[in-house]
Amino acid sequence: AEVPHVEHPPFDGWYNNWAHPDWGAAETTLYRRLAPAYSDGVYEPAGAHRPNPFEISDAVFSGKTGHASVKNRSALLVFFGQQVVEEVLDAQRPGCPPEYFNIKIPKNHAQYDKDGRGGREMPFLRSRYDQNTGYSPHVPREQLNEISAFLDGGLVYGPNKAWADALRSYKGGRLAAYNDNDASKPNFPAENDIRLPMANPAPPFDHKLKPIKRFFKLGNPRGNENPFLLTFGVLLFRWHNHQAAQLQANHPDWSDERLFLEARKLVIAHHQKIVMYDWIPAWLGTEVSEYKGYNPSVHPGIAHVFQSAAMRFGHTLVPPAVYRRNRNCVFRNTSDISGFSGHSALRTCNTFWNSPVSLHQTDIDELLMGMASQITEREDNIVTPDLRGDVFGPLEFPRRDLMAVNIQRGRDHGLPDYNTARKLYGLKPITDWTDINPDFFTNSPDVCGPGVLEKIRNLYNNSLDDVDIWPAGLLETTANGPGELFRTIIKDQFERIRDGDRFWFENRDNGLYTDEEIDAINKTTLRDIIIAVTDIGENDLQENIFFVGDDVPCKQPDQLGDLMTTGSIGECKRPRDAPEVQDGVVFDYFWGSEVSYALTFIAYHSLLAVTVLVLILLARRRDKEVQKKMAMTREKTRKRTKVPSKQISVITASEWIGKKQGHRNVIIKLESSKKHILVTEASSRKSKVLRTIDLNLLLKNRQTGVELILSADGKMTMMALKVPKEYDLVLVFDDQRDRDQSQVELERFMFKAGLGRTLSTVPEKDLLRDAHSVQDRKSLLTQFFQTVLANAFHEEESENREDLDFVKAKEILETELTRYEFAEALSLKPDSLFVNSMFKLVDKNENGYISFREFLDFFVIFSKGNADDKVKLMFDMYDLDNTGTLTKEEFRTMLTSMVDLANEKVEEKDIETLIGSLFSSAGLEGKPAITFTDFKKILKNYESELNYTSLNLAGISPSEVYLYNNNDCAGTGVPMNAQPRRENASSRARRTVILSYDNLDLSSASTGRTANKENRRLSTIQEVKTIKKTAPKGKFALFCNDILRYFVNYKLHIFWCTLYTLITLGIFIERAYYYSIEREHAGLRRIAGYGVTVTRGAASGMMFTYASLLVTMCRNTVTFLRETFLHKYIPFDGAISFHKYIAYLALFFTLLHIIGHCINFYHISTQTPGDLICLFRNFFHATDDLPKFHRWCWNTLTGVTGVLLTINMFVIYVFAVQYARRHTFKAFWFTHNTYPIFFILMILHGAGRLVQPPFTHLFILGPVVLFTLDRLVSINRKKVEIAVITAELLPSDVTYLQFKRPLNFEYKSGQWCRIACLVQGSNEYHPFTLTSAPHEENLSLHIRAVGPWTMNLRRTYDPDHVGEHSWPKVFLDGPYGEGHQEWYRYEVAVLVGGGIGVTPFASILKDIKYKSRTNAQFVCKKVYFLWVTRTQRQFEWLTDIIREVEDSDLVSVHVFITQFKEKYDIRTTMLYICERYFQKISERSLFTGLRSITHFGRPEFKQFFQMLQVEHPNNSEFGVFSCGPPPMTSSVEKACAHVNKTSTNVLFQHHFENF
Amino acid sequence: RKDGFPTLYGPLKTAVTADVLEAGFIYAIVILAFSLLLVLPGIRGRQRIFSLIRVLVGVFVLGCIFLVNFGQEWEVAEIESVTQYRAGLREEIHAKIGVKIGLRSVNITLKEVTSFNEGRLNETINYNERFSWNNEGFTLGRAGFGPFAGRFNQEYRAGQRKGLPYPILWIAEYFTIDGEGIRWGRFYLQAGYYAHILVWLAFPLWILTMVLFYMVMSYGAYFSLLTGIVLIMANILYATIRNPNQLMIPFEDAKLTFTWGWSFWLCLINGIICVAIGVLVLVIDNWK
Ligand SMILES: Cc1cc2nc3c(=O)[nH]c(=O)nc-3n(C[C@H](O)[C@H](O)[C@H](O)COP(=O)(O)OP(=O)(O)OC[C@H]3O[C@@H](n4cnc5c(N)ncnc54)[C@H](O)[C@@H]3O)c2cc1C
Ligand SMILES: NC(=O)C1=CN([C@@H]2O[C@H](COP(=O)(O)OP(=O)(O)OC[C@H]3O[C@@H](n4cnc5c(N)ncnc54)[C@H](OP(=O)(O)O)[C@@H]3O)[C@@H](O)[C@H]2O)C=CC1
Ligand code: HEM
Ligand code: HEM
Ligand SMILES: [Ca+2]
Ligand SMILES: [Ca+2]
Ligand code: NA
Ligand code: NA
Repeated sequence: AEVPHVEHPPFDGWYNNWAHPDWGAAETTLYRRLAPAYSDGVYEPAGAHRPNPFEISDAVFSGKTGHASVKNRSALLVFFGQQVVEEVLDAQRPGCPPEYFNIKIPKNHAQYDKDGRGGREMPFLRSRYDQNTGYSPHVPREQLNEISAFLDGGLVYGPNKAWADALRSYKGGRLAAYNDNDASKPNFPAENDIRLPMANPAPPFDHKLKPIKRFFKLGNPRGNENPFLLTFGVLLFRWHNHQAAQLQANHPDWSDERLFLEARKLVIAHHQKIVMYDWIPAWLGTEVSEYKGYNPSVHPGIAHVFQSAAMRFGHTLVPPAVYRRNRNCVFRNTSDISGFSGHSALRTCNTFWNSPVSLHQTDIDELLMGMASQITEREDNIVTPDLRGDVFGPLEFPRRDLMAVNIQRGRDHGLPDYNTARKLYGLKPITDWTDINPDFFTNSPDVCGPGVLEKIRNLYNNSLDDVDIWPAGLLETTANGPGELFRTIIKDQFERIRDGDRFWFENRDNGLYTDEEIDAINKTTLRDIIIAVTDIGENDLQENIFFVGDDVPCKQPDQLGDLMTTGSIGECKRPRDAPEVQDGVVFDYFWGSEVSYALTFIAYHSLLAVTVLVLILLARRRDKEVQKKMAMTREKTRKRTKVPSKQISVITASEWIGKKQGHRNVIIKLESSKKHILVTEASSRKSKVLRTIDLNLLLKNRQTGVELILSADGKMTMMALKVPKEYDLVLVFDDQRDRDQSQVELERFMFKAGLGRTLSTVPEKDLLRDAHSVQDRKSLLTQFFQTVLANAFHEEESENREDLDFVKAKEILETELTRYEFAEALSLKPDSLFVNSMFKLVDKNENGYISFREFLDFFVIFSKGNADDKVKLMFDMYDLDNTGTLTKEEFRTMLTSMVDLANEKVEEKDIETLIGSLFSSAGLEGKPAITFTDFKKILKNYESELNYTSLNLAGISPSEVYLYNNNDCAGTGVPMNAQPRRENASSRARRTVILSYDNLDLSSASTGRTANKENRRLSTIQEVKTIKKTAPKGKFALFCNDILRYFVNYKLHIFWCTLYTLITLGIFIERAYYYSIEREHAGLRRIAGYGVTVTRGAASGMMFTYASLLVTMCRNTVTFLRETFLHKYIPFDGAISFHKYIAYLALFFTLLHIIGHCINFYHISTQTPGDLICLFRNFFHATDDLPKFHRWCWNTLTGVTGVLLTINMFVIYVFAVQYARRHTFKAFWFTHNTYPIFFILMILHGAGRLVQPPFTHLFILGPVVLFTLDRLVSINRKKVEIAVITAELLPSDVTYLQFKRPLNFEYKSGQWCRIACLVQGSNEYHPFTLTSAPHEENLSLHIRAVGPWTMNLRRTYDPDHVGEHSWPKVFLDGPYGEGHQEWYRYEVAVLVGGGIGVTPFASILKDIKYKSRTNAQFVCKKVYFLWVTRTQRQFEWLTDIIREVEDSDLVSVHVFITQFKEKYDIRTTMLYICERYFQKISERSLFTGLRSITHFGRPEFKQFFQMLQVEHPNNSEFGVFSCGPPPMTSSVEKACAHVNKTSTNVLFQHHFENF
Repeated sequence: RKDGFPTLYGPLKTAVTADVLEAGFIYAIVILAFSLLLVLPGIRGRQRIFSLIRVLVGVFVLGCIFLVNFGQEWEVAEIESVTQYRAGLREEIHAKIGVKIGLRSVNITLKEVTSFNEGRLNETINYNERFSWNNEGFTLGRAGFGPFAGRFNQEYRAGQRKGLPYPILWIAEYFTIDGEGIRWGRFYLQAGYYAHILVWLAFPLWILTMVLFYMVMSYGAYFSLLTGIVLIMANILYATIRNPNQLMIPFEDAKLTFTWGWSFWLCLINGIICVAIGVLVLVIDNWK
């Protein structure tokens, strides 16, 4: 390092100027030399009112080629000029996002609208610009120059250091050569095999994209555009290596780096000298000013007007073809290497972007000599069609009109008009058109083409105020070269480049060059360089190669062009002319995407279909398995069932009960003695009689027999037994033999019974279709009862009947009830005496059935008749022999029949005693029989009441007061119990009877023991008012009422759902707005329209909804929160419903998204490769590669994950539908648990960053963390399998489960737990209230089947399905909830249970009873339990529990039935009708067996509480505990508040929980 | 302080020498481990040893995950070379030039080896510059250096304006070029992007692993395996997402050639440890 280095010029122009380090640097803005003329002052293109560029092009630049340059300028001068441009300027790249500023093609344009279709456009993309500019008028849009403006060798070394590094060979300071080791090969730059990012449009000759590798590795990114330009690239490359080699020879000790930099230094200097002092004078016809030294205040930047207009002067000089010749003056014809042979020269337009081809063929020597010999096109306004019409373009418009582009570019860059430009460059404005070029227009008008002046003048409306610079500037051209304006601009530009360059070779201050070096440089010419680095000799070139002087060694054979007389240059090859191009469409970017596009969507659809199919198959398979199991059970049953006697034969089969309900295993017993067919359950555990067919009735009604229908196809295993007036018994047998045997059996039985049978065979399908199934019958009966009730209560308002069409009405009128059906409707035992008596009573014509009329008559009496009528009805019911008197015997029957309902034999003695006392109390001792009057006497205590309590169902009077006075009841207790299926019914019945005695004794004998009790009873006088609810009239009003009620019940749900939906919508709209308004002018939005708006909006909606799905499934969190006060405001129990709601919301957005993308991807598949690079910055594709639909869809992270997501989603949703969960729960659970994959895919989907930075995680992260933590809690929970001890299917779809209590499971009454059923998926927990009390040994639950899981549970514990196995086990979690624990702290406690909210009270009530017995410190004296329910049906099981506690005086129970009328449920109605009477008699409800009074209507809490104050005057604190729907708890709350406010020193403390 | 002038200390001109973030992490991990170890005496018997192992391994892996995530040395290159230093200067300098590539950024250091230019150049040449690409979503942004360009390019342009030394700009420039075969910046960005997602993912996975080890051993093992696989995947992705053109940055005396740095190896080792733990626990668990 002896010799100090010099400061070498930078590669990118930075730090050239100390004051302004970026002046002239690469990637900085062009130099705004003229005032901008953007039409909006900021960025909208200038010249909105200027003429169509094509029209200008045709008017000004058209004409024949082949006129020779007046000054004999050579082609070499022209292409050297192009090379100079590439040294100082590159502003060709379109902006990003692409802004199309297309040029309209005039109709019938000779080249572009040959068919006269019109409406065509030539694509034009506005230039790339500095995006800090163009926002406001003081800094209008400024386009960028990608390379340095200096003459600094960029052409050779690239626009920056890294590029230069890529060109070097690192040997001897040289640049890497094409074939460094083989001297026999031409010395070309290396191939671009590392794929430097050079410009790479599709060669129009091939009309297809080609790999970038084919180019030579040059510094200039556009250096490979045409072979003539490329020649200079190669030449200068060689010159560098030549210099390096010389330097190395002179300085063998220099490093590669130093050699490289020193050689570069010289090459730059030579280039500067040649451009400035040789080429410019030849180009402009004038010298540049003398160099006066470096002037740091000069800006070297390239002026817009230089870029967009002036320097394009070269276009007019470009020849349509270029000669190649050898040293012997042989001008080469083109050969077929380029596929274009047999012509005199290389046609310019056919070489675009295929440049290396010609060079490989002839090296650069022949091109250089050819160009030096060739006189170029004339200096005029005519431009060769190679540029004007056939310059390269994008695939969809491969041959463009460069003149139109030039004009449009000027407008794009905001160039002012021609005269303004002149003024600003200090020239005088033109006022007369001919003054533009007096020589042209006045002296030799033919030169510029006939009538050009006229044409341009007309185009611009004869006004010189707003003329584009390019056409007018070019029209100034003279033989000398560019006209005044362009000359001035160009000269100014190059002088600025020179003067503003600190590293300029003549600047002695930069220390770069010694004086000797400068001298040598000043002597070097382009000719010297050529001779030095090619095989061209001194004699092969004229002295001044920029002109074809007389000393030219070889004269050109002809002036190339249209006017040629010898040879030809051929045509520009156009795809437009190719036969395969249809309809003038040159290229459709969607070509090649059609198949994959169609296939993808077909695949999607078929996949969805397949998923559904799989679901159905799985469901079928499961149903088959169930059937198999049933068959096995049948087999076992058959083996087990012993035929009890000869009289009875047994058939085992499976009964078909309906399309939806399927099959059940049954045992058919044919009892020939009784002429009964019994259908019983075929379970091993019990054999309940499901149905009895009494053949006696047939005989009685003189029916000849039954109908037997056999299936004639399939496995021939079906048989239907049609009994008149009843539903059909459809049996399925295991095989045909089985059926045949049974048929014989049946026929024999019929025969014995004295009945015939008709036999027919039909196809299975028809058999099932025509069968009158249980279900059909049920719906018929429902209508039957409804019609009866409607008739009985609404005779005046006949609207209900109008709904029935005639056929239906007739069917109902003809329907007759069997005794079994009658009993079932009342939930009573069919063979009980009560039912028998009642049935007999109603069945007036004694045909064994109850007809519509009979039933109606009976009802009318009950509802309309006076007290006497009703008592008479009862009397008649037990006047079995119709004598008009009740014998003692009959009276006894009356009592026993009621007891009998409880399925129990009461001791004779007890009944006798009861009768005795009843008779004596009425003064009837000794009478053998009682008359109706006597009977009334017995009931005398109630007579008055019966009179005024008219059963006016049309509306319950609000003032209706029910007295619950024990005194009144005493003495008439008739025990009955109509709950035949309760396990403890018998003992209860007995107790009831005993109790009646007690009371009886009480009132008559008044013993001291019970006096105490009586007193207590006396103190429990209460009035409970109910609120009358008038049922709205008319269907619509009813509907409105339902809706209203729904709103009241679900107001919180509705609030949250609405809020959530609106938030989701907001998120959707935010993105949609962003992409449709804020990004209106940009990017993807422009190519895909509102598709992007929709998809992006939907994507955000999806992120939000899918993330929320997880939140709803944070089960532990939800469970925890529902214990907090938040539960008042957020209905946590709706989490699952909410999950489904969100899922469907998500589905909506997903479909929107997918459909949107079908459209977007279509649009994307129609984009140019360049635009795609800009639009999808994170998705790379090579310039020669045009991604098709399948690439986007199947080869990008976003696409592939999108496809997978869609599939995943299909599967999840299909298997989540109710059908799937019901039929193949396992499949639901399995597919549903792919959700982690779904979320991972979703993250990856966004991670592909195709359009925007990913932000899925912002939505998902919180929920995922919460969900994970929640999951950890679940995992941490010890799971113990718990054995189920008993399971029972109770009526109204309630399943009773009793299971072992785990060792340390401590709970309080009223708490709830969560269970998972092992066979139904061990992860799915559902909450249920414990109905067992803490003191009990086992835990029990009452589970109502409402949805898939609970229905499955019912099926799981269906004895038919369990078969002989032990009960499936459960997982238990809990207990949860506070439970209503404080009740025993109050002396008086009020418990209010509403709807499903009564469940906790089951446990509480049991607990009360237990505690009252065992706990010494039990302060509670009285508990009122108010049970509010719509209908009692669903809670029958609760009555057992209430009954248990009722017997203790501690608890007083009131039942409120709020909707019996609306529901028209016969049982409840009967309850309503009969309770009034029977309860007076028996002290107990006939139907519920409860002593408590049943009220009809909602309770009036306020009054109830006020009454309690009266009732318990010494008590100051009442505990009120309510549980049920929010409206109810809140009305309790209000009542408490009211009472607390109005009365001093009394406090009603309300605790509540909502369900 | 002199003559009643305001208090003033002499300037302390030190270059950025240590990575503060890195040091912070190491400190945090050490104090975490230390605090946890203090709890140990409270645990009795054999349990103490197990807890010790658990704590140490847990904190070690956790710490490594963070070190790896924010570590600057996934790939490194360092040379000593004579080089141009800045504009307006004839002299070249002899310097140590280092490049450290992390998941989010590139650190470029330039430090003069003083013997070469002794006395002649009165400048302290000790630079450590960072160029990052972790803008939202590690997006590349539009071409060029404008306001919509990627973060790296913008930082590079800022560096140009700041006037950083040539070697630093030259190196950084390599990462700004994006087109055809020259896309080193893009590849390191992509590799960093995907690797950082995976390494971040490993963090909650490892936390879950540790939590699950206290709950259900086998679940813990599976998550440990998963953590390991995710970490190793980060290595695999990082190593496979790259330009077919190997990045080499020539200087006068040597070329910067890139090799895996300690961050890369630590990630791999950490991944292997996690896999090993998972397998080990599963084997033991099944044995019992
Ligand atoms: C605290 C509490 C105590 C309950 N006690 C009883 C009871 O003693 N007896 C009884 O029959 N029912 C009780 N339920 C209701 C019972 O949990 C649901 O009826 C049952 O979970 C329905 O499940 P499904 O899949 O069959 O019905 P679906 O049709 O899926 O759901 C019906 C309704 O139950 C809700 N639901 C469904 N699955 C769950 C779940 N896993 N957790 C919470 N809610 C769910 C749904 O949001 C929907 O509103 C109680 C509910 C709660 C919150
Ligand atoms: N079809 C529908 O609109 C609805 C049907 N259901 C079904 O009913 C069953 C039980 O529902 P559940 O939600 O537990 O409760 P319910 O909606 O059945 O309500 C329970 C009882 O509380 C009464 N009640 C409501 N508000 C008040 C009040 N302010 N003061 C006094 N009493 C009041 C109701 O009377 P009343 O009958 O007068 O409202 C009803 O008798 C569920 O299976 C559910 O599917 C539940 C809600 C709505
Ligand atoms: C269930 C199916 C799908 C889901 C859940 C889904 C989800 C999403 C989400 C959440 C985003 C936003 C990502 C982000 O910016 O962070 C998104 C974006 C996108 N989706 Fe989908 N998508 C699905 C299907 C598809 C399909 C079938 C395609 C087409 C092949 C597709 C193409 C896209 C594209 C191109 C984007 C823009 C990507 C970007 O912003 O970088 N999607 N999608
Ligand atoms: C792609 C959309 C969906 C996602 C990501 C999703 C996610 C989830 C998750 C994470 C769970 C908890 C699973 C578990 O505890 O292991 C779940 C449960 C559930 N999902 Fe979805 N879900 C989607 C769609 C649906 C749909 C469409 C439905 C039905 C209409 C549905 C119904 C349910 C039900 C009923 C459960 C509860 C199972 C239970 O009772 O525990 N889900 N879902
Ligand atoms: Ca230049
Ligand atoms: Ca009858
Ligand atoms: Na011309
Ligand atoms: Na009953």
